[in-house]
Amino acid sequence: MLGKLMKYEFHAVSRFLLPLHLALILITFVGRFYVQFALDNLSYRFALLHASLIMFYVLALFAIFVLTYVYLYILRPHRNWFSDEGYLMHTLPVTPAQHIWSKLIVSMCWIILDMFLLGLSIFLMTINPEILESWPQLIEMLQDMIVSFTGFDYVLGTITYVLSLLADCARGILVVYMCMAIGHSFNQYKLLISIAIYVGVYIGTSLVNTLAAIILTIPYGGSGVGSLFIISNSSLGNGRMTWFEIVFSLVVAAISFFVTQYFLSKQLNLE
Amino acid sequence: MAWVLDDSRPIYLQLANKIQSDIISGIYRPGDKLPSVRDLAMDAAVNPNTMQKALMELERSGLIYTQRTSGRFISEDAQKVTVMKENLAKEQIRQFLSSMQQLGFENQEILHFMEETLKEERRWKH
Amino acid sequence: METLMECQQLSKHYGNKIALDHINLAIERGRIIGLLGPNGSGKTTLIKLINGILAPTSGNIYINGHPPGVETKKVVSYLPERTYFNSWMKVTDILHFFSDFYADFDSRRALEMLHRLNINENDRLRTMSKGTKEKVQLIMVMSRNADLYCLDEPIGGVDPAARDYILQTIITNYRENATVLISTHLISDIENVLDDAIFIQNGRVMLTGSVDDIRMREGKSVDTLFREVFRC
Repeated sequence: MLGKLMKYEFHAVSRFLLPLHLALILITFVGRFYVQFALDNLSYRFALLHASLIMFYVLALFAIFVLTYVYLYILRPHRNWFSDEGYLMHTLPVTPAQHIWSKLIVSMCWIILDMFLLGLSIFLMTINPEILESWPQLIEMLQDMIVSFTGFDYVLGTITYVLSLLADCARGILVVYMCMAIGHSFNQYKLLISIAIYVGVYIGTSLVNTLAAIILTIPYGGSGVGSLFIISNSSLGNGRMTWFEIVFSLVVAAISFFVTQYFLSKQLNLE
Repeated sequence: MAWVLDDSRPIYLQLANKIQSDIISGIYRPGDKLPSVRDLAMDAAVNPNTMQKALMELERSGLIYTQRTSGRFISEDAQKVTVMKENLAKEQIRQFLSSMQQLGFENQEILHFMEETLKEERRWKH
Repeated sequence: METLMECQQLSKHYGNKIALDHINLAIERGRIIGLLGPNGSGKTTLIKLINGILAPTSGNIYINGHPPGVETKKVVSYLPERTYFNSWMKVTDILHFFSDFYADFDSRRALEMLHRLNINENDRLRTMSKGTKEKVQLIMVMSRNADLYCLDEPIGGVDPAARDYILQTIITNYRENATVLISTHLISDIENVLDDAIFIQNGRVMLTGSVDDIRMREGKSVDTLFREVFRC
């Protein structure tokens, strides 16, 4: 059943996301040729045009990014679970857990694809011979960044960094599902309650992260409270912070999952 | 098209009556096979359970019988149909007489009016 | 054979409002049952509870001995008051959807009924009138070989010809070991199709019985009795 749910979920969201990302690819192609043409024919006269088109490109990328997120995190689950479609979905012989998993997995796949395509677009737009030449140095810079970010060597660092991104993504999605599910169980002020819970969770998790940062870095000569003012404090405490972040994200994700599951099965309030 | 059924009497009795009338008026002949319960129910726009009840009533009165594998059939006992016909006719006449008597007519008057009306009908037909 | 559906002291509260008040009901197989009551009497609440999209405040409800869940959803077919299909879907998409999720779905039967209404597989819901969409939904629901069909106000707001079509569809798809539960307040239109009637008001069951018994006992139609019992 889960497989079937995912199949339909995938078809349904791709109807919107596929054209959107094909447009992205198109913009990238056209943009790249244009950039090439502009670079070969530098001239003062078109400066304004170039600038506006670059701005357009950036805005387009931003819009695609935002649209993808808003659609996957909010619009699609709300419509499919809490509007009239909910009458169809929640009477399928499928458990609430399966509903949540199918949306979570399909959403994460598309988010990853989205991030990849956006990154690819920027890469293709900006690549030039000079960058290609300094490629090895760029890789080294990247590795250093990972080490300083995570506190591990760059292999383990890359792995844990990717893990923490995934855990964070899952957590983000599940927290939103939870807020929607709780808000929807009320008869009035559904949106307000959802937002309030989201803000509450955000504050709560930030607090925990901050506390962890202080506590985990104390034994390592970290300045305790002072570490709050360091942007990347994960590397302090020898990577403990990185592991903590991963585990904490997964814990919050799991809690959100179970709360969402409870509200979908016991507190569904379809109108 | 749905059969005409009135509101206050049990539906299954009305259905039984209608089928009975069909048998008496010759729409169903002795030995004919009845349509299936489902088809009859669809035709009458009623619940198949109710039609089943009606058919069982008719079976009780002996007008129809069930052959296990082939379905339901009208009784071949022509005698039975004739008796039913007679009973129905007498019943109709009794009702008619009762209505007329309530209006104040005497039996002689009623007979007289009946003959008159029948003569008129014959005239109209030619 | 066990009771198809059973409610034991079933109650549902929304805050202070009591939608269902300690309902006790038992429904057998092979019946066409009318759940009759004025608006707001609790009909829709009861149907939602049967279908597991609402949880009771107290009491129990069992379908084939199971509380509402995945097992019961496999054997209960639900037609809600609203259209629940995505408008971009084609008829063939819906057919595949139902076949995929419901093992008891009979595509062939559904297609036959659709073709009789001149509805093509490639038609999109978006292009259909409201009445046609409702018929498509009804056909999908009735093409399942379910144990219990729950139809919530299937004939409200529908023209007389469509009403006849709906009743005819219900009669044609009738099976001896299945039960159809029709919730409505338009009784005279469906009375001839009902085996049993359940009168419900203010979340309480006022009366249950077979339509024939009611007519014999009261000497009037269920519709007339309803008007008397629920006189404003």
